[in-house]
Amino acid sequence: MNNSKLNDLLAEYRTKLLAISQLQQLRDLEIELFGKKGALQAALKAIKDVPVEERKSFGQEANAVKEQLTVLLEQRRQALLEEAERVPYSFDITRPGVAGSRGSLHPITAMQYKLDDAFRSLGFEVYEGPELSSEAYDFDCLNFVADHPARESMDTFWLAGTEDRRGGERLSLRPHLTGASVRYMQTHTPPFRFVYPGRVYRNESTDASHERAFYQYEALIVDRAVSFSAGKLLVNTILETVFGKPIKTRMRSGFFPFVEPGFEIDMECQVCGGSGCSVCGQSGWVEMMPGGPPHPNVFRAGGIDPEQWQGFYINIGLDRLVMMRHNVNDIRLFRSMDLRFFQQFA
Amino acid sequence: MKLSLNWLSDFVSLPEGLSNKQLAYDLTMSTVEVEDMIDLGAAFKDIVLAKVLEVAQHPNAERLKVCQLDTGTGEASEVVCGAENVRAGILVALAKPGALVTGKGATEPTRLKASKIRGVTSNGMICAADEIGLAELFPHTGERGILELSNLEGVSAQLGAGLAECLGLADTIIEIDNKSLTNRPDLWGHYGVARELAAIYRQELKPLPRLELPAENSKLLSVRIDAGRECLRYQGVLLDGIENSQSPFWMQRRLSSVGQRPINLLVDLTNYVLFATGQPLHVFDRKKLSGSTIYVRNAAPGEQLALLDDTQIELGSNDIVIADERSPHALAGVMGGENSAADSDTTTVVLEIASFNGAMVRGAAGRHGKRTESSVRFEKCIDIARVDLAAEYYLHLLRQIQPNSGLLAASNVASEYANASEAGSRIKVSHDFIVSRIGQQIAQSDIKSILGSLGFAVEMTGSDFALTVPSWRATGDVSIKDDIVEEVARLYGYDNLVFSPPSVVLERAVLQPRVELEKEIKRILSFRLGMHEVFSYPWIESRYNEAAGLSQADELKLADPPAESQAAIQSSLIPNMLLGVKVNLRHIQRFSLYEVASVFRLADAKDLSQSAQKSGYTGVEARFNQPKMISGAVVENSFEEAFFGLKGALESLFAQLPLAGVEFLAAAEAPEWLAEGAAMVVRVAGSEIGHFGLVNKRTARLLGLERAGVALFEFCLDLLKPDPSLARTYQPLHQFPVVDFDLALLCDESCKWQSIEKVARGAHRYVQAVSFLEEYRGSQIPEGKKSISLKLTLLDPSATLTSEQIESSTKKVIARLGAELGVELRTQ
Repeated sequence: MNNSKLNDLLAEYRTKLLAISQLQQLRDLEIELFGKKGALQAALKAIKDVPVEERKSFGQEANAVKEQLTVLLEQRRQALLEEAERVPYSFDITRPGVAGSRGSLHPITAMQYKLDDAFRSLGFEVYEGPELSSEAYDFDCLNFVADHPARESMDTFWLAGTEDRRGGERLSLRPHLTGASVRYMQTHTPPFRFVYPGRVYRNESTDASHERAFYQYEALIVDRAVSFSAGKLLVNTILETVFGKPIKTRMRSGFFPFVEPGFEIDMECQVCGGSGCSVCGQSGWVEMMPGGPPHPNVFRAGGIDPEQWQGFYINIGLDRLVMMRHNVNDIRLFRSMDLRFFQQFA
Repeated sequence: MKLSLNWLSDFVSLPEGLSNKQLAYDLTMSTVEVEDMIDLGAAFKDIVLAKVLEVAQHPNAERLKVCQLDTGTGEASEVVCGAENVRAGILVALAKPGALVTGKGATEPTRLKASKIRGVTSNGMICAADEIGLAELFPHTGERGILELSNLEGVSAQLGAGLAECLGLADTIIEIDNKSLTNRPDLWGHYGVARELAAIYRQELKPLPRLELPAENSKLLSVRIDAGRECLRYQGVLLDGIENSQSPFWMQRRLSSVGQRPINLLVDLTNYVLFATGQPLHVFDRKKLSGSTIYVRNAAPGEQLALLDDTQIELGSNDIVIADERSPHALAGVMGGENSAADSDTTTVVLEIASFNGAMVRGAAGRHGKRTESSVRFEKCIDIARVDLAAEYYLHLLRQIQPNSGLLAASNVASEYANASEAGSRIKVSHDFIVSRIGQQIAQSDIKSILGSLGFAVEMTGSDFALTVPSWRATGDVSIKDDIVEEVARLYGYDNLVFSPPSVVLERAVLQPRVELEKEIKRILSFRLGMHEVFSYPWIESRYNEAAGLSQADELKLADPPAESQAAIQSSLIPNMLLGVKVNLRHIQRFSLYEVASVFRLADAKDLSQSAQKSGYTGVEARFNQPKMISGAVVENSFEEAFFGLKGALESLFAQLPLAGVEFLAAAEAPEWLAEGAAMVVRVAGSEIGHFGLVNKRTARLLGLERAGVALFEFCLDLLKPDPSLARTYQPLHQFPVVDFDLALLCDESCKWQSIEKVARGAHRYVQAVSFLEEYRGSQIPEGKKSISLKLTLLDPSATLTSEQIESSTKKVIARLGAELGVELRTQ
């Protein structure tokens, strides 16, 4: 490099470029250097003072300097850009996000829907019977003997004005779901399988573990051959759906008028894993639900020939299951309408 | 119910090495639920039989003595004792350090420690009966007395041996859940449970010992039954030569172990036979009866009876009593009378063993509030055959204990109804039937042996079983062949059944649009619109019903409601929804909730035909209509926010459901609970399905809700007819840009958005949509006017709009609004 002016220019702007820290300064410097009235143009104008024979080399040198300055400027621009992008956003990212809408299904409904889905995947229909029902359906059709104490006791909510009548004339808020199965049988032709979830009512005093209204889930399968052990399919479907894993169960002798034979169905205690603890009374088992094949008299009430058809019922209280699942310690919360409770399931 | 394992073992030998845990499991799986197994011996650990060798005065305490005891170790044990009756030579119960004793005044036992008492080391404690839980068996030791075991029958005098072994107190009590026994009258005594154990473990059931009844002698004793079907059989036995002292220790021990306090020989004997056989018995002191005839009859209204529990009852004509020729002496099957009770002077008694009707006894026990060991057993319907079994067992025991007692006469009367009920029922069932129900091959011989062990008489013809049901099961739970299947299955063992899934028939998919619709509605409300689903009750607080303007003279009521004010059952979900609003306003200002439930109404003629179509409604039920409703509330800080919050939620909901023709219209006639001018009716496919709007001001005032913006809705879900075939039709995407143009308009207060939208929409072909932005009233707006801002969405489907086109289109909209609605462009 012979031309000292060009050299000076290169040195001067190399220093200037290194000195700046803002992109705007870089843009200003770019104009100052490469603009129409910029330093480079000014330096190039000196060509007219260069002897003709040196003009070629001057031109080459001038281009080289321009090239170098361009590269330097571009490098500086990249460096400044990167630096600027490294500056972090200043807001507090630990603040909550903008709230979406968060409502909830009642936890019992949520459980019911899970069970419905599981049973529908097995080809079960979802059925619903009326809540205002009669002694005819809820006792007579279900093989309760005429003088069965449950008919007399105060724990059924009879409708005023009908409480002293009998059968179809004696109406109540249904004390259980099973009567609905007879309504289904009367209007459908086997084979069939269905679930019928719903609310039921009993007149008793309430406390943390007793309610007047609760939610049951019942299933009935009727086919040519339904062995006792097939009932296990229903039981296991329920418990696996609720607990999200296979649960060990056992069936033992129990008595309910509408099934013959009657079973009590227990599941392995989930607290101790079956080794025995205070929750399961050291037995390792927790009583979960009754079940069994419909009593021939119930089949007959439903218009189904007990010689031709077999079946299996199971019935489970959803309140208690949901209490177990979510550690709820007061059954009355389910009908409290208190959103401080329900928001916890949103 | 408590059962003693020792007692059971009188009647059946259990397998060697059977653990209590296994026994509880087997009994639970096959027969009844075992709730607990209690080891009675455990309470007597480290309490041993000892002999007092020497008694010396305590050097430092006047009232204490220092005793040297022989505990069989060869070395005397020194114990400090304060009892007045401690003396050399007697046998005592010594609690060694570590034993559980209940100190004076304490209620729970604590563990004894070796200690120094006034400077003398005491290696244990000589016990009083109540200190080691034996007060019931040894009630006669005084306040400051220790238990003396010297003259006790059945005490083996091996010093140092455990007290439980010496006194025969080592036993296991099996606690049974009574609920699991209600259908098994045979299991309310040890003998019945022993029969089950014999069947479970294939062991022999030992026969009950018996002594034959004496001959009839109507001069000495006669019985007359005049009670229809309420007493099927009455066995009276006249006994004399009895010394009614204490019953033998072994009997007291047994009774005490199952929770029955020993009283005297005659009473203890009846209780013993009751707990052994399940058959209640009673004794009358013969001296206290008038005449030699026992009458079983209906009580005369107003007749009085003093009962054994020191209460006096007034009888009614539906009570059955046992009476002499003058007055009643027992409430049949429930409790005996005070006036003929056996006491220490009693020598001659009439023993009663009878068969009373279960429902009659349950009724009497309920009416008079006397549930007794006797009544709970009769309620379960005890078989008539047990009368003789229990009578002869009683006589056997009495003669064993008091060989001098005399059996004078019996009087056995059966009612005319007894024969019909006595006939053993017979069941025919095939091997195939049993096997197919259980779903498992079980050999005929196994079935025969199971049924035989339960007392069934089994005859076989080919592979058919002809069975005679034993009397003790015939009154309870066995009457049809399905019952036989259960007997076989439960004793074969449910645990032994191999799981076989039902065979699959694929016929059709389960399609239930209505079920799906309800689920979809709940999911949208909860998960997209942020509402919370709640449950309430079908009964309503009358205050809420009245505030909602819904109470009626003919509303449906419960005969026995949860509370006086909650007698009515709901004809609308609104009252309980208002309650839900009220409950939550205590804690939250803004919220929304909903419920899906049935309501109950008397059906009108139109409903009648509808409900008759629904499955299973017959008779009087059809007079009621119980549609399923959905109701909800949106609560906001202002009325406007609440109204439009709810309206928006409902618009969004219905837009997502498979329903066609949904309209929201200003309601001309709104329900009582809605406010005038803020009530809308929702119609779907032309039918009204319900209403929504702001809560009526009167309703709000009555319930103290005035300060919140509360909007309510209620629709009938049953009226929604989902059409799953409904689908949205795709519209091609616009090729050219749409242009949004905002307008601020000034219009009369009476001018409705619905009209503005309609006019603007139709004003020019470029107008694709007209959207509401804001309604405004303020200082710049003249009185009687309001400002409405809206957004026009403009589009030419075939080209990009030029600014001239946009301007002319907008002008046309303004002009039409001006011409038709008097709306002008706002200039300020």
